[in-house]
Amino acid sequence: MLSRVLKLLQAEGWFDTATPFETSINLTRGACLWLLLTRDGVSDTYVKFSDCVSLKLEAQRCAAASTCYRSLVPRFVGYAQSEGLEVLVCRAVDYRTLNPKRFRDLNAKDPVFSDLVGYFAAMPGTTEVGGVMPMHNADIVTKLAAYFESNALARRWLHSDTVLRAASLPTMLQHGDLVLNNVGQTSAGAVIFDWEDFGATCLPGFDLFTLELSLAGNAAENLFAGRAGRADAITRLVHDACEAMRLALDDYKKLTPVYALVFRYLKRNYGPAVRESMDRLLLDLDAQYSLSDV
Amino acid sequence: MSSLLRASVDPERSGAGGSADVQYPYADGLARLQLLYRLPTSPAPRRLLVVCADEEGSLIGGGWGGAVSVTAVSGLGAALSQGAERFDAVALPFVLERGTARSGTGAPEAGNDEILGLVRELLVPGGVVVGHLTHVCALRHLLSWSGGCQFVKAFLRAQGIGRSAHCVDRLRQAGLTEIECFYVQPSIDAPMGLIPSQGAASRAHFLRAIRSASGHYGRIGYAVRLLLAQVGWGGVLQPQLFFWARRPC
Repeated sequence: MLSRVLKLLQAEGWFDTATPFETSINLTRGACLWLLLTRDGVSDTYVKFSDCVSLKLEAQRCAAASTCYRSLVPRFVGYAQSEGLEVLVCRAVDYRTLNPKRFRDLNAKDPVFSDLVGYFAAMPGTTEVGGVMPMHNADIVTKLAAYFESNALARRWLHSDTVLRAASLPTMLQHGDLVLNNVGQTSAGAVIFDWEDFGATCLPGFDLFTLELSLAGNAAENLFAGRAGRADAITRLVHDACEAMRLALDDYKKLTPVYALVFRYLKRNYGPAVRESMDRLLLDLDAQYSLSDV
Repeated sequence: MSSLLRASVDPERSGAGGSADVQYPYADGLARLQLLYRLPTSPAPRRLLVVCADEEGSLIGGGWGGAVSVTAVSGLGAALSQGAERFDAVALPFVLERGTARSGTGAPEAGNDEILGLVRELLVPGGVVVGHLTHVCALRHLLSWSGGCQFVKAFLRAQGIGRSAHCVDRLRQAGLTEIECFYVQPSIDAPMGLIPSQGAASRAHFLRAIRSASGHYGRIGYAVRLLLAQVGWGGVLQPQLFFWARRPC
């Protein structure tokens, strides 16, 4: 399979396989693999490929993200398919991953912090991208109700007034999986990876919620404790991002259950372990809600 | 399965509808291990011979997409002498190193060189040998009694193959080409990646990984890991090696 991938890259002129290079192979728990191609240890090209799932839509999403957020997204190179094999190619970026501690220590002038706020500020302008079909905010109740038909907790949440508020919010295309693992720190600032769910939802504040949740270690208790007590980079980011999106902070907090349901809905294809962990998170969030006044 | 998955996943991923959960093919660790064995392209008609030391090893052939035969190490020589058919790929899951250590059967033990020589003869020109083995320099092994003994044996024995450089050497000695040797990340039971085991790419990978994960270590742990990566020993934390090579056409 690897030889076919490399031949395709060479044929498309996206990577010169005649010049010496090294390959790191990364597996996923999904249906794809990706390669990091380096030359003498220096990152050059990312290649995502699969022989059992289409990457066409993801390529459209990557290309769109690459246009919307030029400085934050690894440059999209191209998409090709040949005899059942599909490849999606981006230029590689040298980066360090972030962890919650490092993030909490960021000051407002740090390029990573300002790039992330800039990402949220640019969001109101991203209402439509060719080829990307979002779950429209007005359809959220119908979609989620159909999926969570047998989930009593979700049904209860979906009958709250908050959901109506979500349905009336403006369209802003979301990354769809903006968690700490998908944010990197480069010498210039931030880089955001993994745009395969870009535009799957356009609910303002969704990306901010997933990022805030991942910074809280994906624990509902930490999320609520942080909102109640801290004064760190996470609080600042939530405040500045809401302001940048023109989303009231109070609305953002009240929409937490809706964000959680949408997140679980988007994760429905990520395997049983992920689904179970998301279901536990929904229960934990509910428990925290019953302890709080929100 | 491929077309079924392709058809069922696309509408889901588009957000356009559908409410059923989909099980992806590589969610399971064994499925990812089987995928690793399919990575190096083998010639058609893709006849695979799995040489294994135990029943677990025979699972490697799952999802192969061609005829799969299974044999024990001891059956290799017999297969060749009987003029058995040639294979487009030969899999060696935990056979090298372990193959030499087998005892109690009364039969002479096969050395790594002998096994690789037989495998070469069983391959068609352009055929590929692919396998994994214990990385004898991995700290996890060195800290155990049996691992320490294995490490010493690997160094004393002329045919030692449990270090990446030795692995490449032995494959080359066996007359194979297009050799690749990787560290398995994090372990062979549930692999998530293959890291180049030599050169600048290996060093760069470990430096990147350790700097990214700095928050997970104490100061001393971080400094030690960084130092190991700087001097090119980042691989001592990786418990297995994965390799492939080709019989010249």
